[in-house]
Amino acid sequence: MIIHVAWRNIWRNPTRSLVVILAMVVGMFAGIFMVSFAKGMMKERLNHGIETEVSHIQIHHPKFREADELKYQITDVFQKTKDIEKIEGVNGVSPRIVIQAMIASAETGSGVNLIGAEPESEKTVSNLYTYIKEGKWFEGISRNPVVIGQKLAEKLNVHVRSKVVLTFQDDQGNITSGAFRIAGIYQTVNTSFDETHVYVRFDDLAQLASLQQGAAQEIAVHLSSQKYLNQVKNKLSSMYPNLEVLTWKKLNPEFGYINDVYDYYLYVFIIIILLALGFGIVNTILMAILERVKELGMLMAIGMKKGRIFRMIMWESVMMSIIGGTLGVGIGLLVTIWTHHSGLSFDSYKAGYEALGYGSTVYPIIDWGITINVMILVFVTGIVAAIYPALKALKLNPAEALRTE
Amino acid sequence: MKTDIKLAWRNLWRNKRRTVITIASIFFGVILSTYMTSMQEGSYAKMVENAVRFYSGHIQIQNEDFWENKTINNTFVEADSLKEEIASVPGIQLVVPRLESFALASSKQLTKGAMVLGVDPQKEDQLTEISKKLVRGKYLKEGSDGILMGETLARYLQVDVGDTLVLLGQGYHGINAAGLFPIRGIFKHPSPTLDRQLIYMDLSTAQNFYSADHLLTSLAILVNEADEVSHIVNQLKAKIHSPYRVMSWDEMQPELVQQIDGDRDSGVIMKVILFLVIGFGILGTIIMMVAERRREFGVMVSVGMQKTRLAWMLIYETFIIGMMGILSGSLASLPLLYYQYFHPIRMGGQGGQMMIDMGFEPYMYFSLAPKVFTFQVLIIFIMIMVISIYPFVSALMLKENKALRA
Amino acid sequence: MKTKHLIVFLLIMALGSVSASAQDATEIVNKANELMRGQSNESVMTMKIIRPKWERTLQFKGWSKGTEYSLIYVLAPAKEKGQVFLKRGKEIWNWVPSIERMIKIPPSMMMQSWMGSDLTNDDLVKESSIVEDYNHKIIGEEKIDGYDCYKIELIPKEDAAVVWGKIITWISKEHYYTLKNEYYDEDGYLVNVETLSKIKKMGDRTLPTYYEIVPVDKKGHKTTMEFNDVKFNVPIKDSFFSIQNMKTVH
Repeated sequence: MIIHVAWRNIWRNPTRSLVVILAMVVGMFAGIFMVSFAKGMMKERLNHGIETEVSHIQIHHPKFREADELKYQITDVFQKTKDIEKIEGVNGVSPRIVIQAMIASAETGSGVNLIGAEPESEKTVSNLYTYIKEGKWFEGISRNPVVIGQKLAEKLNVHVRSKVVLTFQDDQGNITSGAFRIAGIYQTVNTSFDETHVYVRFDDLAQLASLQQGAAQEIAVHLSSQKYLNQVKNKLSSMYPNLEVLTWKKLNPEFGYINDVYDYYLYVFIIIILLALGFGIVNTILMAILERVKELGMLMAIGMKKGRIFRMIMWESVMMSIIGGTLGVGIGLLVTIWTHHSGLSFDSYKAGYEALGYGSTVYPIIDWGITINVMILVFVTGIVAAIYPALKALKLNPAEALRTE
Repeated sequence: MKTDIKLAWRNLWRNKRRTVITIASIFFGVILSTYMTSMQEGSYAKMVENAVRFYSGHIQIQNEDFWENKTINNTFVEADSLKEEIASVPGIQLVVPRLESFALASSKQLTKGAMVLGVDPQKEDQLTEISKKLVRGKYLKEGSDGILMGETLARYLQVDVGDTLVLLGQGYHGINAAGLFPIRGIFKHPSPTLDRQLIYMDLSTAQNFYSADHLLTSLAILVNEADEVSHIVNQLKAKIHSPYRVMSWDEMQPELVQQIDGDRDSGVIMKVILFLVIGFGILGTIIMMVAERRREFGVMVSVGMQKTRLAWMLIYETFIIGMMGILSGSLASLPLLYYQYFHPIRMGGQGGQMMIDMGFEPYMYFSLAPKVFTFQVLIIFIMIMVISIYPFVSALMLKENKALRA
Repeated sequence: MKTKHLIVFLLIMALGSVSASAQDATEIVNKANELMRGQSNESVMTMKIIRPKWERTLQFKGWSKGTEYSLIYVLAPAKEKGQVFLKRGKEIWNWVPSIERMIKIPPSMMMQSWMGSDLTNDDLVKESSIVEDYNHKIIGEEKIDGYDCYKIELIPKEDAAVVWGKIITWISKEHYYTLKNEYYDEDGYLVNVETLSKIKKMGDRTLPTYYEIVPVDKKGHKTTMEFNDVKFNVPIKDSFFSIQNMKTVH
């Protein structure tokens, strides 16, 4: 019964109600969009680190990362790869041979991380192949192709089809060299990565390094979503108790730092925005109540109990919150999905050095967990914000109220 | 007009509650937006500082050829004239001299390539706080003949404090560099790459080792305020020329710039959203205020006040409310931010732990730079002026008969 | 039918002579190489490293046997006297008396310059691949320093682990003195020029004793080497080239 009254009250003064509803819509939209945007932005940032450099999880022999020596191997990598691919959440696996080597051209030489990987497998764990600037990702050169970074190519003064010599210590401890031809040159935002990471085919390197069949130093695992991170890591640890399984957070703590710290800031910002929303709604509803002083006074005068009046006002708020909130959710999600597809691009004014074509485009992502929390918080804010004004209304003296202009 | 302003003023105070509520919405808007901006600016500055304290400093002065070709032959003498030029630029907190080069580190069993960093122990510590990262042994004293090395490197070479390490390298002008060094301390550097490669040595010991007397590869500079970096860099570049070169951190680490700038850009979106919410809050209040006073306006107009005059009076009212809200908000936010500046918010949980692991303080910092205040205030002022169009137009479109019956 | 046989016979002769001259090019290079190395040798050399802003002079004694073993003992400058380098196959060892340490040079140090010169550690160990890793062809004849020389082009074999795109060498027709080498990168740019001169009799043979390398792009850079004394085909035991011996040799 009270609900009907509340409902009709809302529509008796459209302006007033619309203002409140609008405030809710804006607040809800703001909350949802901001979260999606922030998450999209973070993914973008993590993107480079994970998608191009580290991938989600890496598996090594426990001594490998410290000692960096060839002999700390994982055996039977191809079988392991097949097994890992079956795990839920995994959408890419690439076994890699990793050797510290020297690369030399007629111009000069340089120390590099030499990575032997299968070109197609590597594509499933890293998007480095999308950064190829010249040449191709392992196409075009049939014998001993190699892919290097732009910075390194400049240092060595070479280009696609140039020959380079790779020298390193093989599995027997002998120093061995091989001639390779450049199939492609990539360029990422990270010049020191470009200068030190050199890629060749798994089989070519395995042969040159005299490695046993199926031996490699690293297995990189890529997941379809961050949410599987711990789950997959634990599964891998239990599958291979003698091997070291690390997530990107441990491998590149700098990325993790930014990720987690940013989450913190995000929550604080959302709270600030909710506070702003709260104040806005309190003020608006307070004004609205003040405007209705006469009407409320009348109701009290004709005998409506204060408790009922309170409930009536609360119901009005609840309903307006629901209307406004739902609309806000709708708009928020729509805008998020739309920008998710088209992307929000920020100008790459950081063209201090060559334009990389790496525009910071953000694709907002709906993180349901946080989004639902935000939705609840906004609704609650809308409702709680009405309490103070409603209480204020109750303190009115009916006689005085009736006499207001 | 003056009378109208007076009228506007009196109108506002006739209904205190209404006015106060409206001012309050602006008040909170100002506080919240300055708070958020202060936090954003503060965290940005801190991020830069943390990153540069790892190794590079905000600015470096090097031999002009050094950046392209980092050999021991591209070194320079720290001439007095250079020292004076640097001292003449204000805002610089630290100037840290370094000699860095490659060397082969060898223990009884194993050999590995390493980066030797010859430093002034006191000054270096002020910049990178490396002494805090020590896990065993002692920090270097000035003139010490010993070295500090990363834990990962020590573990690989199977050495510890008290052992002797052999260092071999290429000295100045090709002279062979060979020496024995006692290990005085072991540190754990949060960056795995540095932990695997870094060896600290006293500057003069390093210069002796590389036969590079009085030579440096760089002077690392830390400034007082992060946002002054570009200004200071420009000043230095104007004073210091060939054979030296001045480089700022963003020139040395462009990847870092991308990361931090990305943060800034998203911060802009956050602020836009905040202003949107604040704007609607204020708008809502103003709309309600106008709606509530319909009758009053109706009376005024029917008694003879021109609608235009009423409209302008409302503008004055809005303006006054705006100014009062902004002023009170700004005044209130000052002490709040001052407090936060000196008492940053501690970060708990995973984020906080992460920061500690990196060797950073787990706090959210605030900035007191003037732009934190001025910019927000300006935006809010503009918003209010835009919002005031509503009452203005409302007044112009007023229909007396309807208004009187409100 | 007989004409057919004749034609085939002539063709084979023609082919034979073509391959004969190809063989000649390789043979020439081989002989020139042999001249400089011998089966084994013992030498005293002076190396000068010249840079735009400084200069350095090294003197050392060297022993080598075939392409597998060599030992170098540094005589000067004083700060570095007594240092010994041992090459066995593809490995290098370094004995530093001032700190009494024996170091095995890891792959990461291979590209570091040797004693500050234009040679890298890697250059020291690279087996003289000039004969095996390249295809040789005579492309002309020129006079250098008054000697009539073959101008031979060396193109690396596809799988050869060498960085050069091409090398051109001038070897005197008589006596097989190598007088000049030009090193080109794969784009055909000249990178290094080596000139050899001061042909003298040393030990059991006459050969160029002064050797100058100039990197074309680097102004003011030069490395020179001179044999002060050299004996060839000296009997040296394999055990001479050992780590233990590094500490006692002088």
